[in-house]
Amino acid sequence: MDDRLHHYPDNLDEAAGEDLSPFVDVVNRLQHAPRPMLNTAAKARIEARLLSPNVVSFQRRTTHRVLFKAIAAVLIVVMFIGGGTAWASEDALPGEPLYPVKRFVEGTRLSFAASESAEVDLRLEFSQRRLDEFEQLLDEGVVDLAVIQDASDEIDHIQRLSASDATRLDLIALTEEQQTLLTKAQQIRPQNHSIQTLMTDIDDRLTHLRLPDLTVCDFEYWKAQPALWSDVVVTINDQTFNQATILAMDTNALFEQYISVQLNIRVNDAPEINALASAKEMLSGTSNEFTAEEITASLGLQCRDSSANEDVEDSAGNPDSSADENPPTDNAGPPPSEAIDCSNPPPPHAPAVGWRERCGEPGPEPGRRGNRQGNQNNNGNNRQGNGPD
Amino acid sequence: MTSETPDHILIEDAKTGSREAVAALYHRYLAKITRYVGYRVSDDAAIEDIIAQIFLAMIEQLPRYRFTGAPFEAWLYQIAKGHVADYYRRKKPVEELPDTLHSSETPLDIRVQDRESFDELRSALAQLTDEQQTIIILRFVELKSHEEVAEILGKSTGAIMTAQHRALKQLAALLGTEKDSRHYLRGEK
Repeated sequence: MDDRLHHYPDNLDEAAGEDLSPFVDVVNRLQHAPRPMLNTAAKARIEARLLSPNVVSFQRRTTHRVLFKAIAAVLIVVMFIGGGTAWASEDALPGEPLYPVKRFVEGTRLSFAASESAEVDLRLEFSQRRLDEFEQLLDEGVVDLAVIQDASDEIDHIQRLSASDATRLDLIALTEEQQTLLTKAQQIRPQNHSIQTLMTDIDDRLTHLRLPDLTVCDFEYWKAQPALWSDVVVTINDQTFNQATILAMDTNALFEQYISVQLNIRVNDAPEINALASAKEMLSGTSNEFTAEEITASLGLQCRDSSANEDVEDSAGNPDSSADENPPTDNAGPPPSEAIDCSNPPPPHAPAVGWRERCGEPGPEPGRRGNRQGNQNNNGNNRQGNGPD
Repeated sequence: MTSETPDHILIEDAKTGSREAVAALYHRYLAKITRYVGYRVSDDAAIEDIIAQIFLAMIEQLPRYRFTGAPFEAWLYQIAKGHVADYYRRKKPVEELPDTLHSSETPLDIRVQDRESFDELRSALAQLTDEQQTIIILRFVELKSHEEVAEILGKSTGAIMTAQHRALKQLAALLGTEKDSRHYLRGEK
């Protein structure tokens, strides 16, 4: 434990660029906080409860329940195909007798989903249903937060399943609807703490869904291609910078700032859409000197995510694309197989700066490496660049 | 069945009803779950039951547990988080500061000289959202990485970092050096 504590201050790297002193105090306080333990009597009491014969029979009941559920699932599916109760339950609202049937049918449909994309589609449908249910109840003056929480759970699940732009836009729409509905709910129950908590979570999610998944390499790219982003506003830590400021800034200083905060690049006229996707879309419809294909190609080469493995690299598209438009950092390092240190970004509790300096090129910020889109993003990075996938 | 028996073997044995395996899992994770619940639940008297419920839920849900690559404790923390949330849902909403009563029935083993600091920190944490509390405890008490916390909460690391930043800011204000806020947190006027 002590050994880990020694490394601890490094964790604060991500907050660099902010006034750290209040956090240092708090973190210090937390580190040295008392570690509550159960007293011996309480430990023994709980253990006795866990090991009592009731719990064993509990397990047996669980097995029976699983079997029961399997049989019920088959029956429900039969009913679902033939219509009947399951079909009739489709319009049921929470609290109504058929509502559990409705949810059960949903669960069954999910368990029969043939692929991840089928599951995503189903979950999108179900989260929309939850919101519809919440709205209908709201019209009757009922605030059922469990329903909207279920929608949130579905959305969280979808986020883990799919990182595609289409899904993300769906999720943004769903989350915005959730936000609107909760605002209405707040008017009915103004002082409700749970609504406020849900609102905070939803706001966070919305912010995150709207944030493009950029790495420093993207940033190098944008700096190297000023013609592409005269319309782009860069927001770092709530401050907005224009093109001239960004270009005049020292990249390393900017990067240091960047790793500490969320970076948000938006195309002015399409603020909802990821910056690079918007740029591509925007440019493909204009007479700009870059075509969408050129941008995709250059992005495909412009930045290598060190978390991408060789397989991904091999399958990356556009191997012959011109590198002329690439930023200076492009592919400067050795291939990942030789760059042992550089292909292993430091864990988030290790200082990122040393690693970058050693590797001689800015790598993706470790904290963002496993970002929203997770590992699935690696493929996207190489296919489309570090922008949206 | 030793303290070195890997989780996955204990889990498989526990699934088949081995009491020894259940006991081993309980002993292995009790301290972590106690720290989590201890900081999340401000009523000492409720803590023991919540911890018991978490481990009972673990036994009940084990047959459905599938190894996904995530550590077992991530799954267990999810159960713990759910039970703490349940506890607060069932408790009548009292929109006041959690009481920091020094109950004589506390199941917690805490040094007398640490008690005040513990209560103060717990009261401050209680002002944060469920998720913020979980992030703070896992990150700074349990020293988990952003990725681990993200896995437990099913969020992206980016979202965790944003939430952590906000939570630290709030905690700093709540535990700030201003004497007023400290008195306030202790429930003094």
